[in-house]
Amino acid sequence: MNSPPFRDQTDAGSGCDLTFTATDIEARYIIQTIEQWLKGPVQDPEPRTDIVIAVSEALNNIVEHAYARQSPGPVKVCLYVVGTSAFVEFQDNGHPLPDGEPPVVDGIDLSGPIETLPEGGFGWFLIRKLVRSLRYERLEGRNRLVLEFAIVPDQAS
Amino acid sequence: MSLTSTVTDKARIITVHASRIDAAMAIQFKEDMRQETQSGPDRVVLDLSQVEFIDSSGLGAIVAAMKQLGSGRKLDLAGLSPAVDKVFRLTRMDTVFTLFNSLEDARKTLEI
Repeated sequence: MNSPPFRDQTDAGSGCDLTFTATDIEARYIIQTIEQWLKGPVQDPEPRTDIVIAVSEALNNIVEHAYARQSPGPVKVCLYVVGTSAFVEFQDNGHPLPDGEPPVVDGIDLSGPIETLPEGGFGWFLIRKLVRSLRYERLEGRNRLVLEFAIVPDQAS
Repeated sequence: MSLTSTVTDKARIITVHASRIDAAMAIQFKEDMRQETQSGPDRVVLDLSQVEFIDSSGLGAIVAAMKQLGSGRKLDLAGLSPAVDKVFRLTRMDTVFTLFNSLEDARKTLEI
């Protein structure tokens, strides 16, 4: 799996370069802005839906966890398209991911009775299901997460 | 958020009048569902046809809404848009709930 290319911040925008404060309501506005922007470079609605689902989960994580126990801080979002991939990059100044890397969630346990069904823990599972690749790094007190999405289907291997 | 509800002999049908069930409204949704389903028939059908998008918080709230119904009662879902349907299928929650293409489908199949 190829790692997404890290670009210099000044090179990050290709029609969309967004900064907002990490609250639920602002995240919703950013998601809707990204959804609109994607209609340009990504014609097929299905990959667009996949990107919006994963981006929503990544933003929710930043709002709920990175800025937990402190006042909401800034989040910077950049989008760009390279070849058959769309990249969405997030930067925030919040807490690092607990293990220093995105959690690996292999599956969601639905085996028990209804009373024990999970009501959360779906976020990273959905992100990992929907991306072509992902990359996380902690740099000078900042989190940087880059999600890569296939906007043209991968060749069958 | 806005829910409306009608009761037939066999089911309560609750319609969500919102385009999203997301992190910003999940808690309110769960609470509103609790109020709407405090009494009434054991079967509840949730009409999601106006909902274009759901995130994991919204999914969790729907799971919570089913759990708070209590034993012997059932929550079915109708009218899932492509994005909502995708979240249910990816998480396999489509195996937990009965999904109907539309409220009309649910009414016919369940004879409610």
